Amino acid sequence: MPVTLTINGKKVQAADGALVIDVCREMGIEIPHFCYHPGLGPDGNCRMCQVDFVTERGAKLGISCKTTVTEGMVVDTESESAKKARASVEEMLLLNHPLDCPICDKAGECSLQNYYMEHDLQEGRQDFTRFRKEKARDIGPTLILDQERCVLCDRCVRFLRDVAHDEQLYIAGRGHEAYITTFPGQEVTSPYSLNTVDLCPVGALTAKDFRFNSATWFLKNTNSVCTTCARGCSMQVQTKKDQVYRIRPRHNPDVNGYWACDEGRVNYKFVNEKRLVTPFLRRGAEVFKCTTQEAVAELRTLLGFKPAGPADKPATRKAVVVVSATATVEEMFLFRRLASEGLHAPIFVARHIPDGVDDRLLRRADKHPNAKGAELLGIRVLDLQNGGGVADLTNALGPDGVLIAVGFNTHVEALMPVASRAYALVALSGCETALTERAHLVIPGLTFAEKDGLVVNFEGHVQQLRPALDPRGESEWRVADAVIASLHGSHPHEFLAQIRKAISDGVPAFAGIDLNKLGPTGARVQAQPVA
Amino acid sequence: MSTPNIISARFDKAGSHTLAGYKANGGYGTFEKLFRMKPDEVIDEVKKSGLRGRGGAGFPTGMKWSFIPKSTDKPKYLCVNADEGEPGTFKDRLILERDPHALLEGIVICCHAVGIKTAYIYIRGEYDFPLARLDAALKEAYAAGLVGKNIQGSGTDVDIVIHRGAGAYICGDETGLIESLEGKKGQPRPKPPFPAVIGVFGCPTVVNNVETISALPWILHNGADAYAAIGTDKSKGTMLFSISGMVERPGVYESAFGVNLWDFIAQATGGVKDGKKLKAVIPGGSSSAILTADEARNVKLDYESIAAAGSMVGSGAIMVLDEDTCVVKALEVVLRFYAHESCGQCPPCREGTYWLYEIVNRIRTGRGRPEDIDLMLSICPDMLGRTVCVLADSAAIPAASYIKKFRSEFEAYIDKANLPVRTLHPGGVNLEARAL
Amino acid sequence: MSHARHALAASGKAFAFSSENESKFADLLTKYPTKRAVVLPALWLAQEQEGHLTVESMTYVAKRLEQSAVSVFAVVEFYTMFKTAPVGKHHMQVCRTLSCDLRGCEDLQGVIERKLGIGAGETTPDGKFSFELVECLGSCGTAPMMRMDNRYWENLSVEKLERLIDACREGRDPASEDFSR
Repeated sequence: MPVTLTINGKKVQAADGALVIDVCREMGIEIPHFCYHPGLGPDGNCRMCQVDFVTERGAKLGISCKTTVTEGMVVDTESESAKKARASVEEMLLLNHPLDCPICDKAGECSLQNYYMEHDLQEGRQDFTRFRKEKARDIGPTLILDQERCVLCDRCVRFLRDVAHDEQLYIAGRGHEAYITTFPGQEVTSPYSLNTVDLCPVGALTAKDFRFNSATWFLKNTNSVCTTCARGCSMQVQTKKDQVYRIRPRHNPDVNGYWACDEGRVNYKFVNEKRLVTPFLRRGAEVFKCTTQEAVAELRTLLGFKPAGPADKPATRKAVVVVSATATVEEMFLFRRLASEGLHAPIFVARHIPDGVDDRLLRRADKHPNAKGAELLGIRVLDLQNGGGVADLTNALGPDGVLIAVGFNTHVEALMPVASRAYALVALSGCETALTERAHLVIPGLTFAEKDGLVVNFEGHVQQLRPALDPRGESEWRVADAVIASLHGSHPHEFLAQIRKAISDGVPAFAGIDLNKLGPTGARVQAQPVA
Repeated sequence: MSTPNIISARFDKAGSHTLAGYKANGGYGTFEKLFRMKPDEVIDEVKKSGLRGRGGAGFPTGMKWSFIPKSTDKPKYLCVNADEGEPGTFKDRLILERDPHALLEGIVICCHAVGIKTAYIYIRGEYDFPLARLDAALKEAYAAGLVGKNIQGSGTDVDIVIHRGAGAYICGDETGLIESLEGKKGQPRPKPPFPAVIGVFGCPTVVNNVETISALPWILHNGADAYAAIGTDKSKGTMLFSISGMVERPGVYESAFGVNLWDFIAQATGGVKDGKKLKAVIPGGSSSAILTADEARNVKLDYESIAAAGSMVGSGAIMVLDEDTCVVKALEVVLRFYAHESCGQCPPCREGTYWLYEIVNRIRTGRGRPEDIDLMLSICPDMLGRTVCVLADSAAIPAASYIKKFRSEFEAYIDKANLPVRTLHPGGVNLEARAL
Repeated sequence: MSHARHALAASGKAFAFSSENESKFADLLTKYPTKRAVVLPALWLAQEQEGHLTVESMTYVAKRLEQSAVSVFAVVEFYTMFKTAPVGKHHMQVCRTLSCDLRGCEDLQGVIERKLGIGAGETTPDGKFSFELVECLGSCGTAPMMRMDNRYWENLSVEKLERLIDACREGRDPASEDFSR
């Protein structure tokens, strides 16, 4: 039964049992808070979310994070006493807080800073030497702890205990001497440790990965998806100029909640390393840069077509197209079209990255973001790590086939046994690898940070990668389109919106989803009928 | 007025702490009546007596018991608060040292009334001797079948466990005690939910002070009306008052409510030590507002009258200050206590107690600034009613009262301050003046 | 300062309950519905066994009770009676709260500093005495006073404390002499 209550003079309906702070947020009233977090629940210790509850006996302050709405409740978030209470809590927190802002990573996204500007703005009355605690303590592979900055909200403790199930941080001691710590001699090793950096409302917990790298206000934010495993957590990629600086989770109630694992967060170094930017051919021991047009001509030649003009005969050489399971749905779709219509060749999607772990939280053993996308498109997925995938691929290739390998940016080892057997190896790769060291033709591709494309996670949730950086190579699907067009004797004419429409029209699982209007959290595909 | 000695009746009797001594004085005599009474009848009797909590809050005991849900699948618990940490209080330890069986008998009464099978006595870790006496008494009671399963064939089971604290004043707070008993830091919980619904181990819990429980045998033996006939209209019965400070004979003295505060103190303790003049009285532990000498002479000792005078009966810990006592130093000691004992959960308490202590220390050590007095007065309201528990209030209320009533003493220190510029160092160490 | 306690180094001595403490521990487990509730009683047993708590004994208690080591450490740091460093043979805890302050606890402090040359938080070089200032011990009526050797020494004065310290120094049992109780 929904209840009706009054907030700041406005009548509003809310679900019975809802928290006042949440109901306010839905109305657009942001009540400041430190210890509360929707993913952790309330704690009730910071006292910042106090608002006035008005009854016939008068107004009384209470914490909105732990108070559930009741019928007829009257709430005033902007009364003088509520405002004074907030300003006072802010003042109390600033008393012993070190004025590290000029060197603190959190500056620009710090609750203490923001709330001072929004709710305090009083002259400081702090007049004694601040209490010293430990600064810049290395507490594990990912984190640096500054005990002085800590506001003792207990979020990190609760996260590690209740969500990650790795109780490794605790508030020890008492009163103003209380401090966050690990057990003596132990470290924070949880594979979800970096969530505590997001959760920390101040700069007490900072990421070694990001520490001192950039002021936060220079970072550009792009909504995208993590491509480190088959979970596909919704992420925000933060960039400056031509580099990725940080990746953080976005809230997605259908996929990852509020969290992401450490591995996915720091898996962006390869975006800026060993990038290929120019197509090249290999003749013997020599490497020659070329244009994309020249690369297409070379590809046609390798396959036995004449180098240009509409193809009047089929390919004389056998080809196999193998696409990494890290590729997008659009890439797989267009390479399937190229393989079947243009080359009459088999196409496979390959899982080539070694398995990780399936844990109770987010991480999946399958380290490929889009094996499911291949499944939905009806493309056979080969496991090159085990299960005979290498044998299948080798058989399909035959003794003198052309292997076209698309999107293998990392972990190429599992493919190399097949690649080394090919008559000719063509690689569309964003990064220099053993594959591109051996390939006869290389067309530079993109990493996830530059792509606009769809990926489908293991549960059938489709989300959109959005480009956070300018492309350094060629969009893979455009290369496929260019080859198809070249073989037809026409010009490349595909565009993403059309491709997406074709996909949703052609794949029953996507029925009812407008792939051109996917919101920031994606959509769940239809359940497939059991074959 | 002659007060019947209810709690302290056996204190000076030899062997009072033993089972034999207790029984010789009628101890455990209520069991015969008790087990024939329905639980609700016992609760009603306690309600009728007007007994209020003697730990500090003064909440009506019968009413507290009636908050426990009648129908619940969960086990119910009693926690006896023997943490006695409020500065100035030393009365519960006397009960534990000299009359522990009265507590045990009272526990069985409470458990029978509320349907509780397990009681924990949370005793502060520093109380070595009271613990030894209590432990010995409990062993005797178990051996005699007065505690344990099927007491005297009544069908009532009551198990009592003694649980030792480890040095934290905040564990005297009801939910702080519960958290500590559960094996965690003694950090109080936001209320609601209240312990009667969700207490220790997630179960309905009654938390009562040692003295409150120890009053039950007398009430049951002599009847609620007899208890209610003593004291005043709203403050029934008697209480043990711990009187200390600058008096001739500090000690624990029992009195009915309603006597004149200073008359009682003077008569019991012999008045101010060495014939000095009275300056002030702290009536209810260090958490209570201070009363001037005049106020102390003109107020009755009961919950309502002391509250009307702007203070509280609290734990009944009366501290007397004489003409030579420095009020500024007294406040410094009190605020240092709260800064040290704050659990640290919420900013207004953790930071506020520390800040108040810093300022009064600065004033007392000759580094105060003129604005410091009003600064302290403005910090106090920011700590009232803003926190998870009342420790912050326990610091802010005394601070405001000491300053308001003895402002001239604070001003005298500031006038004498020899360092007009700010020198910054915590902990009261005098540094030499540094010109800005 | 407490922030240095994270730097608490392992003592290097493995810890396990003595057989007497093992049976006490077993008994404790029957008295509480959760293992966690046994944390404080178990820490008391461990501290009494070795005189103070160590990284090893805290880890041991945590393991026996299926709790995280860091949560046990947090508890140890919260309660002032749990010690993670050795104290002297006679550890003097002098109360400094209101009534004791009114009745001269600073004089007692002075005696200790004079006679033993140690301040609050320090131990004499021979390990015989250590000294700590504590908050209200619930003995305000017999102020000033202190706790030492697991008992209270009440109604102290400068002279009585001097005699008490002398008795300890000379290996005499102070309980057998005339101090208040």
